[in-house]
Amino acid sequence: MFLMEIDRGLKRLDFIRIQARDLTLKTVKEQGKPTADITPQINTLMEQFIIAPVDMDPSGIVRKFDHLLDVHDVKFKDDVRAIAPGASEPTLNNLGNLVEASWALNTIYRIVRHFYLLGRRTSSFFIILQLQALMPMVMQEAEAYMGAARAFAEGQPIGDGIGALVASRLMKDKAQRKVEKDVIVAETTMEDRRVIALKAEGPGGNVGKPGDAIRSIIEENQGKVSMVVMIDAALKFEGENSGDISEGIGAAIGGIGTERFKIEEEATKQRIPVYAVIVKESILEAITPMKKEILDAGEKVIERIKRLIIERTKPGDTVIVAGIGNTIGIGQ
Amino acid sequence: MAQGKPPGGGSVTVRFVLSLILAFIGLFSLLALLTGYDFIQQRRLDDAGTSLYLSLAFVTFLFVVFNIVRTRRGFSLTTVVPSKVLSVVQCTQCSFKQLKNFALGDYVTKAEGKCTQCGNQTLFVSGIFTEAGKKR
Repeated sequence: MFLMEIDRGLKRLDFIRIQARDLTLKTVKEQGKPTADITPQINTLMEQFIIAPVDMDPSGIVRKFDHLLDVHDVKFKDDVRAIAPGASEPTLNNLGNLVEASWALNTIYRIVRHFYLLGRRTSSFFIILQLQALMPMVMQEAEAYMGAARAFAEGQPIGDGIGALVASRLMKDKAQRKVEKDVIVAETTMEDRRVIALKAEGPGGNVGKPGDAIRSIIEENQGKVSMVVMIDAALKFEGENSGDISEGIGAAIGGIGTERFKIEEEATKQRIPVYAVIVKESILEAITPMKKEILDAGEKVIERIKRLIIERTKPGDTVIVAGIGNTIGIGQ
Repeated sequence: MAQGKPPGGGSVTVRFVLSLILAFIGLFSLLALLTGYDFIQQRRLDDAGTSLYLSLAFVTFLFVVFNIVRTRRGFSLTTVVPSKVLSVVQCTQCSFKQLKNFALGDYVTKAEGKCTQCGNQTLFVSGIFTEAGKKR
């Protein structure tokens, strides 16, 4: 019975990953205008991997991870550029995200198939039992990635972009400049405070390097920053409402942890308080097109930032507001 | 390393055949109950026989219904209907606000040209959202 259930799930995973791969091929052909057949290159991209640095001696591991991710980003972007020579920079970023979603689905399928076959071959009830218990979560994640692939193919904002959307509203019609890798900064005023808003450069799918950007802004201001407010999407617990807002302390940023490390390090060095405002959503909502309740949370987040600024700073102070998340479909 | 054998199919077929057999047994039990005649032992049903056929009919039909529901649920998840995506177009100078279908190339902050209400070139896309997706 368990085997039959896993088998059915595996078939669905295969169906979903093929759908995603076909969508990737179709979109790259339409938007990237390749001159030759790109199927072999797409297949190669689907199997790529990163070898994590050795963690037996953890000293300096963040720097190593950061370097690895930089190398991966550059190589990945070059690979996507090679299969989509006719794509503009924002389109290229969207296509990169699309390929990554397909890669994720392919990897999920390969891992599930591995344990399914291993369980069958060794007749191990416990491997099968564990896999069967995990299948609902795995399927939910796969459905989410499929939704993400559709959003990336059309360049639609996703739930994770709520932080970027809030920053975009703050920096609209203000003088903007680029700092660090793919991060845009603009200055505005709020309740007589100088607010430096930042987000990843859109509207292409991009998360930028907000850690480096915040560090560089703090250095530019010789450490005279009263506080950093980070806005991000966060996973809700079952039973909580999507679009609800929570406030906390600390660097609200996901990923492998390198960007969070940089922000925490700089904030600690300069004794700057870091506040987090998060918008709750499920994993499915975070990577599929933005839902109305999440979009509507944007205005409430701005109100919350205003309140935080009034309560925690004095007029004339400098505040950094960082909109974190994938900025696909969100300009500035 | 040798690639493992691709997963063998047949789970749906096995389930279907099993359901068919059980449905047949269920119908047979129901017929015995309705006619009050035990076709296997070629005699009228006594109390013990009635209880047996009643339990058999109940269990088999329960399994068939359970199987149908599970199979339907399994298939329903494979076809997620892509939800409708809308762009919110707003004017920065007046109260004009409009919803339109998302078009390829739309993005938040994209300039949309002249406002039909105030005539200024201040229309822009202020948000893009999806309506709640439904599963078929």
